[in-house]
Amino acid sequence: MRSFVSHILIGITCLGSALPSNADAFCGFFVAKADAELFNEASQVVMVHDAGKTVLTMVNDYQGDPKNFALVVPVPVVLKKEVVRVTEMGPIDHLDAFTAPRLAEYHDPDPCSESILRLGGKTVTESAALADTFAPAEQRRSRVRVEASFTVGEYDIVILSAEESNALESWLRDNGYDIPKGAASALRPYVRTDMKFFVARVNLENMKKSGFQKLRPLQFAFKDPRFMLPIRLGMINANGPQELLAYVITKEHRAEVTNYRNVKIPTNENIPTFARSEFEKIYSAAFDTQVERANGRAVFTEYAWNMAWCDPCAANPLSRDELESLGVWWLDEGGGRRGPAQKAFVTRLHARYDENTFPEDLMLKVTSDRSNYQVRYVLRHPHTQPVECSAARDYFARVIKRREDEIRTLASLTGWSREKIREQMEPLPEHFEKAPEKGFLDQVRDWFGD
Amino acid sequence: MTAEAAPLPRRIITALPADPRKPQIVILASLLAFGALYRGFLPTPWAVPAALAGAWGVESWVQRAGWTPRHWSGTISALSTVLLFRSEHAWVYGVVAAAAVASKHYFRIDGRHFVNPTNGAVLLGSIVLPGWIGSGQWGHDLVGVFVLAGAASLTLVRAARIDTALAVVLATAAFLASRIAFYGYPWGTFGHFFTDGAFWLFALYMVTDPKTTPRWATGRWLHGVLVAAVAVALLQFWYVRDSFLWALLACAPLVPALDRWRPAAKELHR
Repeated sequence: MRSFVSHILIGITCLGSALPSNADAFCGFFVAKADAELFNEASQVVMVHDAGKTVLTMVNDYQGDPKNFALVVPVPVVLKKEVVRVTEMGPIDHLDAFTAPRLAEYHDPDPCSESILRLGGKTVTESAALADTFAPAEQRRSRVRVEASFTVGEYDIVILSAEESNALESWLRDNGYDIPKGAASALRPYVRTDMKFFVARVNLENMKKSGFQKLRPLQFAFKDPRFMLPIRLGMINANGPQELLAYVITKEHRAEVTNYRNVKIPTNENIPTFARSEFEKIYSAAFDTQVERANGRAVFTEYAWNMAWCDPCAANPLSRDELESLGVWWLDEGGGRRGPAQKAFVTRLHARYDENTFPEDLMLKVTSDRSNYQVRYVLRHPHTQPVECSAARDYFARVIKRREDEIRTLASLTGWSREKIREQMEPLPEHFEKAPEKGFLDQVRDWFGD
Repeated sequence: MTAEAAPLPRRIITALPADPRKPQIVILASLLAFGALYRGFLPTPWAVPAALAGAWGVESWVQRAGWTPRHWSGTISALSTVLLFRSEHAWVYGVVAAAAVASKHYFRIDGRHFVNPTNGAVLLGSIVLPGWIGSGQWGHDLVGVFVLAGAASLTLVRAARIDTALAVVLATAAFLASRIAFYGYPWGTFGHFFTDGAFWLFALYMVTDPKTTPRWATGRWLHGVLVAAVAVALLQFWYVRDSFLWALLACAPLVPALDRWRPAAKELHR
């Protein structure tokens, strides 16, 4: 047994979960964002799917010594070298930022400006958007078969099939994988349903040659009716709940899970303006609250958007090249499109799961839903300059009421106490509180609706 | 024995309306209200009016009358459609509910419709219309299951089809347990399956439709077991989503066949 392989990361969703040093490998570009970086140890997977065909990209956030890295993923068919590649992290980071929960900011106009009085205060400034080599041939157990073995980029890959899960466990162990205890029983359902195993480890020489410091995402394609994400294997070596962000790219409809409840995160709510600097904390608490309310047994939709049109786009959409790098194969159909709009619908699913709450792998389906949805919270900055006109009094009262509503909303979203929220809010200037009582004629105007 | 001395269950049963469709409508409407409030069931608020309009419209057309007692059945089809189906467009609910009611009238063998109207219509709708079946929408909330089951049993007692529900539930339990034993799935999947509100809705409401189940008890057991077997097989070997709905559709021709086998069996419920 090769002693250098001290860890194995098994299953697609446990990348790095066995190691304490692996978090924090993501980036984004939002002013205020709640992207993958927020959720430590969040695995990211991109699934491009249409009519029984799937391209799967797995983000590798492993931060430890590359020689200790290994990955085992159940796949429905034997994969050939031609349909496996390494890809770049850039498009996935962009996809994360594009689909992440976001903040939109609005600045109240001067309530005494006439044009604004007519419009009811809708001036908009949206600020948010934006080694050893593997020795595969030796077949140590007759019940395990090496179906294919090849090197792609910095990875050595073998595709295994097995007749028996214990044999597979032994094979992996014999080949230097430090298999967690209980692996055989977790492998068994996949072995018995004739799934194959995509096993990758790092080819240190190639990695040195390539000059890449980090392991790049692995991508492969297969044709099979099973539209699913095998999350169960990843639970073997997990410490506590795991986090998964799955970006599902389809032609024109939203995707959802069929064997768990789909929940959309509450969106388009007004929340206090201090959220601008605290958004990560707020969204993290909001997500915790949602998970708790669903008793941990739901998959959350954070984004669903048709990239074929968005005018204006809430964020800079993915380019054709980026989509192709994620494995979208149909962009040439019908002559393709010019400009930023592409025939692709992206659904962002977010799950937090453990062995008890998610006893089954995620089964997915494409719905007929084309409606767009995003998690977006709105900050409304009051007009704080002193102003005097009859409309100002109404405006002050509206702002005071609006702030109370914002406190209630945020308390409900995050589970925080209203007092705690109130303490963090910037106080209103004095003239808001000291607005004179309405005069008789003001009351009459209100009554007449003028 | 005076009426006052009758046992409580009997008094409850005799107090229920003679037409079992009415309590069923109340239960379905309550489920829908619960779903709309707590599970986001209504992508469009016009889904219910559209479905009712579609169902009642076809019923009135067929009966050449504004309102007949059959419209209560149409109401059940409309509410069931909204419970099972999802679409962004209200008109789709109307078309699916209309198709459900039309299938009752025009899709008959031996003078009896044999395809569960809502089942056939939502499956057809999910293929040809911009809509889909809300598979995991009920979640896995035990309390919800008990509410569903308790409420359903009332209707079932009246509809005398509890044997079908039992057959489906017991056979499904047996098949799933065998599946777990053979394939090595964790036992948690068993509990996960049986806490799914969508399954209970199917087992207690849809498959127990007195018009689309065999007339005789053994026939109903056979039918229920076969539906469960086909559903689990579709799920396991062909990875079919909503496999219970497809299984019920696939087994629909079995109902007239079983009834011809035992032609003497009388209609239990009318």
